[in-house]
Amino acid sequence: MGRQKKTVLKSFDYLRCDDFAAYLEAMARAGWHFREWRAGLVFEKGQPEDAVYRVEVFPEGSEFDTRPAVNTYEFAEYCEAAGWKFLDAKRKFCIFKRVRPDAQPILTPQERLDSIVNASRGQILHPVIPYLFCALIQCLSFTGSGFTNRIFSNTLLFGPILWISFALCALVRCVHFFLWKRQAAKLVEQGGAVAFGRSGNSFSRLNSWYAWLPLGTLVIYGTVCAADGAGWTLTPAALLLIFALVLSYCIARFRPDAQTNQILQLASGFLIPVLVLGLSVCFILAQPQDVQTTADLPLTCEALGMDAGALESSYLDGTSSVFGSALRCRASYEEGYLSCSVYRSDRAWVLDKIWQTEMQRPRNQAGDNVTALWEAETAIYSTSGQYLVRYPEEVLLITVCGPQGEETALTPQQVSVVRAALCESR
Amino acid sequence: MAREPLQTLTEPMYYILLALTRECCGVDIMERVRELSHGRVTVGPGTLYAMLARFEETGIIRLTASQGRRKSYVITPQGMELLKKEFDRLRTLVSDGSPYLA
Repeated sequence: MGRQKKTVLKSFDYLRCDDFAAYLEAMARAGWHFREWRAGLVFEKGQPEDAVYRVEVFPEGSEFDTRPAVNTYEFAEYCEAAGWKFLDAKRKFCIFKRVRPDAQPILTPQERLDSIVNASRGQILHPVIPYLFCALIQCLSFTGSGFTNRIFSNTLLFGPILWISFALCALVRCVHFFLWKRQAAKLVEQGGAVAFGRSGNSFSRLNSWYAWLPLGTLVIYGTVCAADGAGWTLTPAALLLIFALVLSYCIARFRPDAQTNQILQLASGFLIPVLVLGLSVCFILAQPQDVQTTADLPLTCEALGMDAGALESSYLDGTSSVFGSALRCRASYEEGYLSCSVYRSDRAWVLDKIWQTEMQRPRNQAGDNVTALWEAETAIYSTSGQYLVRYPEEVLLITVCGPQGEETALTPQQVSVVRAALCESR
Repeated sequence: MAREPLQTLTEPMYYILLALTRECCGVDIMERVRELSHGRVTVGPGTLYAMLARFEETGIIRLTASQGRRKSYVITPQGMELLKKEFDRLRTLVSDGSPYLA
C-alpha cells in the first residue's frame, strides 16, 4: 500500500503566489492534495483532480502567524461565500481551493498588488541598512593600525568583500523592487493584472538570485577560512545556524499561536547567541594550550647573548594572505622581554602603508637614524626603544628590554643575529 | 482641496451601505449587492472584508450580532446621512445632465 501522506519542503515568497498556486494544482493533478502546513506542505493521496487553487496574501496577517488567526477565519467566511474553500494559512499566506465554477475573484488586481507589495516591502527594505552598516564597519576596520592586523589574513580580508556583496545585493534588490512596483501599478491602472510568478514577473524571476548570490559568497568565505586554517572561527556561526534550524522546525511542527511564536523568537534572539558564545569559549578553553619553548621561537634573548633569566611566557603567531605574510613574536623573561614583528610583501604600497602607520605613532616620531647599522633602506631607533627597519620587501619592528626594564640598543653583532633569524633580506 | 475620508462613495461602497440599510450578515452582503444592482455590481470578499472593517471603524455601520465567525451589521444614523448625501449628489448629477443627455 503506497504512502497516503507526504510532507514537501518547499517554500515560496509572497511575490510568487501564482507559482505557489500552480504548484498545488500540479500536485493535485498527480493525485496529491494539499491539507495543511506543518514543517512543510502536507499532501494527502487521493484521486487526480483538475483543481483550481488560489494563494492570497492576507493584509491583516502577521509574520508570526503559524496558523490561521481569528480574523483570517472571518476573511475565509467571506471567501467561502464567494465560492472558495479555505484550506490553511501561515504568515500572511492564505490558501484556497475553488469549490464553485462561478467563484468570484477573492481580491481585485489592485488589492492583490497592494497586499503583496506591503507584505514584501519589509523583507526587502529591512536588510539594507544593517548590511550597509556592517560593510562600513568592515571597511573602516582596515584604517589605522587595523590595516596591519588584517592585511595578512585572507579570512579577515574577505570580511569586507562578504558584507559589501550582501549590501550591494540588498541595494540592487531594493531598487529593482521599487522600479517593478511602479511598473506593476501602472499596469493595474490600465486595467491589467500582475502575474506573481517567475514567468510573468521580472522581479520574481530575479528575486531568488538576490538570495543565492550572498549565499554563494558565504560559501566562498567558508572555503577561504578553512584554507586559512581559520575554519574554527565559523563554529559559532554554524552552531547558531543549527539552533535556528531546530527552532524553526519546532515552530513549524507545533504551530504555536502568534504571540507565543513572537516570544520564542525574541527570547532565542537573546539566549542563543549567549549560549553559542558560552559554548565557543568552553571549546576554546578546552583546547590543549601550546607550551612554547625557546626552541619554537625564531629569536630569543639567549641568541642575542643576553641573560634575562628563565622564559616565563611566549607568543608566536604567523599569518599569510595574498598580500604577504606577518610573523609576530613576544617572549617574556624573568628579567626582560623581546618583542618583534616581521611583515613581508612584494607589494610596496602595503609595506609603505604599514611604515606610515608606525611612523605616525607619537612614540616613533623622534629617534636616531640607524640605517647603516641594519644595511636597510631606512632604519630608525625610536625614543621608545623600538627599532623600525625597512627593506625592499620587509618591515621589521623589534624591541628588546633588558634586566633593568629599560629598552636596550642592539650591538652590530646582535643586529646580525636578528637579521639572520628574522629577515629574508640579509 | 483635500477630500474628507469617505466624502464620495465608490459604487461598491454605495451598494454595501444600501444593503446594510437592513441588518445583514456579512457573508450575505455580496449576494444582496448583486440583487440590488441587478447583477451589475459585484463585490469580492477582499473588498467586502476591508470595507466592513473601515466602515465599522468610522462609525458608519455597527455590529449587531456575532455568532462564532459570522457577524451581522447594520448602518448607523451617521452612515444613513452619508448614504443620503451620496444619493442626493447622484440625483443632482442626473437632473443636471438630463436636458443634454436624456
